[in-house]
Amino acid sequence: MLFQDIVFWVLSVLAIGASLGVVLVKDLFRAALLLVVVFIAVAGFFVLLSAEFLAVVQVLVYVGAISILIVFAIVLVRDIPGGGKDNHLKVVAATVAALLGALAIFVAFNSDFTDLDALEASNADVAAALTGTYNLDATEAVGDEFEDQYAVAPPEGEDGTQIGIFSNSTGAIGGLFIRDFVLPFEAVSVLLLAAMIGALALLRQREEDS
Amino acid sequence: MTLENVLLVSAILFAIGLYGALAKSNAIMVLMSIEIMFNAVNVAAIAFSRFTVPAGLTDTPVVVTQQAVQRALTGQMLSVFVITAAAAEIALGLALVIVVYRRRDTVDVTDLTEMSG
Repeated sequence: MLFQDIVFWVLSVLAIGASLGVVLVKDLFRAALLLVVVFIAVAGFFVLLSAEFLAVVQVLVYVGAISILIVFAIVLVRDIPGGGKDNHLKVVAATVAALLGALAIFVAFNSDFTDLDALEASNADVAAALTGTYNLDATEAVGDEFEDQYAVAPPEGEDGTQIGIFSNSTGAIGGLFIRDFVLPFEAVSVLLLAAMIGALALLRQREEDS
Repeated sequence: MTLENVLLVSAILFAIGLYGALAKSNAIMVLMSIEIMFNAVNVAAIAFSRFTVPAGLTDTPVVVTQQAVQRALTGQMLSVFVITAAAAEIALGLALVIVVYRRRDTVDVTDLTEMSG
């Protein structure tokens, strides 16, 4: 637990420092490189929060694709004077951002979330279903019910107990994609297709004009 | 590492991104700041997914079903869709930036004021 805390705070300092660099550095290209540091630190957060699949997706999509796109765009339009300069709304923007950040932090620290730690104290079995190993027979659900509802039973550990959902999040996410989230999944596919065609159409138009 | 600490970091990242998106005059800088905000939201969503208990597991008596347990991953699913939307957004945004640069030889958002009336 202590090790996780150290890693978490190191990643926090890295992410916040790098993102401050992105908005404060004058050189666009350096800002883009600092943005990659932010993306990698966020991927580290995902690993710490038991979202290994998303950490991989983060590295693939953000570090691999989006930052490359941004660097290409910077190279294409680089001869602009005063790369990352601020506009005249700098003070207003800083005030608005600080107020909104303070509000978010206030809400986060004053809300009453149904916390896993509290659940662990009151009902250890259910908490174990989420975080660690749990034994289905110990709770009221019966294993056969799983077999009826889902083709794939939850995986079992060496001692025959079921493995908690966060220990197998990648498999569970795959299952959710083809069951509960089929419609959003298809919608997002159409969105990506539309974005791709839109980007192509935007960049073609100019060549036809000239 | 508690939920509040992760939300603290997420809120700070979001505020930095918001400042960048509002205060920068270069369109590419604005897009990069928006990406920071997307990442902050993803961190918060996954922190909620990890640290809070899904509805259905807080009832008494508790019935642990696979469906109820899988609801704990809703935040991660939201993040997947946010990442996809962010990829579409940055592709279109940069295409727009390049079109504007070809036509106007500038990507300064404070210069693009034809629609301000």
